[in-house]
Amino acid sequence: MLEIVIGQDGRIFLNGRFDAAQAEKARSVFLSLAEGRTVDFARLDYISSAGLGVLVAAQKRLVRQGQSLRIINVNSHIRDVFQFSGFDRIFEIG
Amino acid sequence: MAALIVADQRRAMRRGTDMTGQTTMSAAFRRDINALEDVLALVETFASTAALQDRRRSELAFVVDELFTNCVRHNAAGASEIEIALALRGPDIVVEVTDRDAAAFDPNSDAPRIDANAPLEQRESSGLGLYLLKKLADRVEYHHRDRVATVILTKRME
Repeated sequence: MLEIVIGQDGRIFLNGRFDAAQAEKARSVFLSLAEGRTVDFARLDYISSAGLGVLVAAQKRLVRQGQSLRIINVNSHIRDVFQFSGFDRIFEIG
Repeated sequence: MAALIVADQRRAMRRGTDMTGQTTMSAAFRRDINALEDVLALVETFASTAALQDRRRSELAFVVDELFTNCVRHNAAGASEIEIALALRGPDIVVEVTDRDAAAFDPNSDAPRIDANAPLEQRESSGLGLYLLKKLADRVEYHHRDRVATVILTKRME
């Protein structure tokens, strides 16, 4: 299960598992963003390729507007996934 | 040593020890993306029983998710349930996913190529799951015979 929480400062917290079954729920949130956001992965167990697809679609849309997503608090497994896929070069990871 | 099998009534999960005393668990799941929660519950039960550290739990969940999701998405018309077996064999975690009604698709040779250096505008998620699970695994075997497809993925624990 994936919980998506929007903090008071606009930060997006993803808690749980960003799996294929949760991708559509997340897509509606990420593709409606009008400005860049910080996405906090501190309580995210893993992200599937379906989840990566949602983030890259949102990043494409935001970058065209001069905005971007910044991802923070990435666990070691997800850091590997971002490095292997080259996504560490298309997202700022804090 | 004889195998010890205990039935889990909720998902007809089978758990036990194999001939070498190692932990094994298996279950069959309906071909539906909404069954993924039950798939991941099996992974979590296995990971707890095997006392896997957090990083290995996440890696195992990732590869099982990708293998199951591929069966659902790319073989939606398949008539069988999808069987998943997890085992500890010595220092290795072994994941075996069997689809009993599938055309041949070898993840080692048939998966699309991924350019990890491509710029943002050229990035897509298609093929990314198989690419990543091959990166995370130490070995991926594929067998296909009489429409029965089996992927056996091995991951060293340390």
